[in-house]
Amino acid sequence: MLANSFVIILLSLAVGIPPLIFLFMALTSGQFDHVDAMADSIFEADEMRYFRPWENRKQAQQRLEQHGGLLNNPNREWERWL
Amino acid sequence: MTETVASPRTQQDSTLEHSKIRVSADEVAAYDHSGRQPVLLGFFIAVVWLLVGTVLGDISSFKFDRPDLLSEQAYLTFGRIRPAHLNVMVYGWASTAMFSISLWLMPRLCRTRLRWATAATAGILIWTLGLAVGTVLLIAGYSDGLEWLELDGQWADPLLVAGAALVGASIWRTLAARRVHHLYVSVWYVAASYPWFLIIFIAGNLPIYQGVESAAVNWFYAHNALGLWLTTINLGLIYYLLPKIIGRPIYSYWLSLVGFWGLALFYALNGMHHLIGGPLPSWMIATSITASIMMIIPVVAVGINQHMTVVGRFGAMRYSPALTLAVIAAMSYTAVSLQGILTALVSVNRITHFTHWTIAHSHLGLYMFVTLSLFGGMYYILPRVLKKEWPSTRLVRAHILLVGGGMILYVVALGIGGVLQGLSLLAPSEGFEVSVTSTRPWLLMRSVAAVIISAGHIVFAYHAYLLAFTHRGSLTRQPPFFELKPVLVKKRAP
Amino acid sequence: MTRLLVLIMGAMATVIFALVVLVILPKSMLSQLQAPPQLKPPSEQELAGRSLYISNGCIYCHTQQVRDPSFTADISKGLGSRPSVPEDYIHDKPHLLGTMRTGPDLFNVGARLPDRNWHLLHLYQPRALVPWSIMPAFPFLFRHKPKADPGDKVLEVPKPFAPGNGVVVVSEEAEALVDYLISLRHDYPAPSNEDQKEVQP
Repeated sequence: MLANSFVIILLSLAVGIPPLIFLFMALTSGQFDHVDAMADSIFEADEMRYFRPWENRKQAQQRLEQHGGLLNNPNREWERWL
Repeated sequence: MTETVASPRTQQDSTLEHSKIRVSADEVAAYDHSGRQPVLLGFFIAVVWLLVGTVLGDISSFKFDRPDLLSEQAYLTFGRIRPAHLNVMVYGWASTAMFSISLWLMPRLCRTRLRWATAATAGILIWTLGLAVGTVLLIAGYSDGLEWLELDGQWADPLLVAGAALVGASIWRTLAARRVHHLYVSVWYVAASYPWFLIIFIAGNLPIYQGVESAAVNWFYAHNALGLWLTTINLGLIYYLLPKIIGRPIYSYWLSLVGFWGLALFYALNGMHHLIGGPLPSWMIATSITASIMMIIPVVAVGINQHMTVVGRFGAMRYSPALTLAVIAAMSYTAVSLQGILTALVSVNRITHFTHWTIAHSHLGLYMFVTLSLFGGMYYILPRVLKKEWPSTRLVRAHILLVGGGMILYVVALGIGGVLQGLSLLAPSEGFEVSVTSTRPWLLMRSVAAVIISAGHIVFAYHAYLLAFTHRGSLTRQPPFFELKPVLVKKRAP
Repeated sequence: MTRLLVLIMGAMATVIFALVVLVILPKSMLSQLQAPPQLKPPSEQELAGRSLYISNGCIYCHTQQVRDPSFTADISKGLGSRPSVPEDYIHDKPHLLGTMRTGPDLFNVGARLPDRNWHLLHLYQPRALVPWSIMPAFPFLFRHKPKADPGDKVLEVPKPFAPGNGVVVVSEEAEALVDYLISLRHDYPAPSNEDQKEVQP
C-alpha cells in the first residue's frame, strides 16, 4: 500500500512545514527569549537551597555553589516510602 | 475583587526577570487555597468514577474467561459493560482528575488566584451529571455506536460540552489575569487542551456523517482525545512535577516547546492509522501513517528532556511517590508513543490490527502514562490543598506496587496474546478457532492482572479517604516536600 | 498579549488544519459516491436489527471490512471476494467498521452463513454450535415460556443448553438482528469509480 515512497516524502514535507511555521512564529514573538528564566520560574523562594537527602556530595556541592548556603528542609526530612 | 495575597509587587515589577522575583511559599499556599473547592471536588468525583470503572473493567475481562458469566440480563452483556468501562475511565476518572490538576496548576503558574472558581465547580458537576446520564443510557442500550463517542448525543454530550467549557473558561480567565510575563511550558499544554478538546468533541459528535466519513471522524476524534486532551494535560503536569520535586530546572526549556508544537500538529493527523487497510481513500491513511512516523520528533524531544532532568537523581524516587509515578508515567509516554509509531507501520500493523495488542497498547497509554501520572499528581497536590500529609507510607507502597506490577503483567500478557492472535489471523492454513484458543490463556492472565490492579485501586481509595475525611496522619505533619511554611534552619552541606 | 495570541492561534490552527485534512476534505470528496446498484438500502426490519447490533455492542468484537489482499489474509480466509470500498458503506450511519476481530468479520456473513435457524440458536447460546466460542450468549433476546402460544416460533435448543422445563421462544428483536446479519453480504463486484482512482496518491 505504501510502495510509493515518493508520496511519503511529499506528505512529510506537507505535514512538516506548518509546525515549522508555528515554531518560527513562537520564536519571533519572543517565546524563546528568556528560556532559562522561564524554566526557573516555577520555584519558590529558597526552594532550590534545600538540602536534598538523595543528592550525592557532588550534586549537593553544585547546589551550594549555584544557589547559596543550603537550608535544612524544615521540620522534617524527606521521608522514604520505598 | 481583592487579592487574597497581599502582594507588595505591582504588575510592572512582575514583568521583570523571573529569577529575581521568586514567589514566596505563603503566596503559593494562597494560590492552592484559591482553587480548593473545585480541585477537591474534582478529585473526589474522579476517585468514585475510578472505582466504578474498575468494576466495569473487571466484569468485561472476566467475561472473556467465562462467556456465560452474567449473560442473562441485557444491561450486563459484554457489549454494554465494555464501552461503559471505557467512557467511565476516560471521561469520569481521567478527565475529572485532569480538571482538578489543571485548576491547581494554572494559579501557581500564572501567579494569581484562580478566577471563576464557582464556574469551574459548576462545570465539574455538570460534566459529572452528563457522564452519569450517558453511562446509564449506554448500559440501558442507548449508544451512539461510535467507539469513544458512545455517550448519547442528545442527553449526555451537551452537558459534557457545557461542563468542559465552564472549566475551560475558568482556566482561560486565570490565564488572562496572569501576573507573569512569560508562560511556562505546562501552561501551553494545559490551556491549549481545553479548546482542542471542545473542537474535537463537537466535531466528532455532529450527526452529519455517513458511511466511511463516519469512520474517519470517529478515529479523528478517538485518537485526538488521547493526543490533544489526555496526553497534553498530563505532560503539562509532568513538566511541572519533575523539576519541582528534583529541585533543578527542566533540562532544555527550548526542547519542551519544540515538543509542544510537534505534538500539536502531528498528533492531530494520526487518527486514520486505526483504519489501515480499511475502505478509506488511501491518501488519508497514508497521511496518518506519515504523521505517526513524524511523531518521533516530539516524542524524542519530550523523552530526552524529561530523562535529562531526572538523570543522576533517580534516588529521589524513594523519597517521593509523586516523583516515582511521574517518572514511570514519563517513561511510559515515550514507550507507548514509540510502540504506537511502530504499530502504525503497515508491516507491523498487518499482524497487530484487530487484535488484543491494541488493547494492551491503549492500556500502556491510558494507564501506565495517564493514570499513573494522575495518581502522582494526587499524591503531590492533595497534601498541599488539604494541608495534611498522606497518613501511611505502607499504603502508598502497597498501592504503587500493586498497580504498577499489575499493569506490567497486563500489558505483557495481552501484548503476547495479541501477537499470537494476529499471527494466527494471518496464517492462511489456520481456522478462526486457533486465534481464539491461542489467546485464551493470555486473556486469563489479563484477568489476574485486572484483579491485582483493582486491589491497588481499593488501597488508593481507602488511603485517600483516610487523608481527606479522618484525622489519621497528624495534621501537624508537613508534606515531605517543600513545606508550606518553612522554618529556616541553616545547615551546611555535608 | 502577543504571546498569548500566538498560543491561541497556533494551537487552534493545528487542530483545524487536521480537521480540514481528515474530515472536511474527505466529506466533500466522498459526497459524490454513488451506491452500487446491487446494494439495497436497508429495510425497516434490518435497521431495527442494526440498532440492536449497536446497542448490544457487537462492534467491540466484530469488524465489517475486508482489507487489501496484498498485505492481509482476509480474502484467502474467505471473508469476501474483494476488499471493501467506500461505496459498500454508503447507507451506514453510523459506520460499524470495528477495530477488533475477537470474533470473525461479518462483512459477508449473510453469504457465508445464510441459515436463519443457525443464527438464532447461535445468538441464544453460541457454544451450542461452536464449542470453543467465547462470544457472549444473548438469552435476553428470547423468551422463556412454560409452553408455546399459537403463533410463537419455538427455538430448538440442544439438550445441555436447553432450560430444564418450558420452551424458548424467538422474540421480534432476535428476528430483526438475524435479518440484519443475513443482509450483510457484499458479493457483487466493486463499482469502478474513476473519482476514487484519482484521489489515490
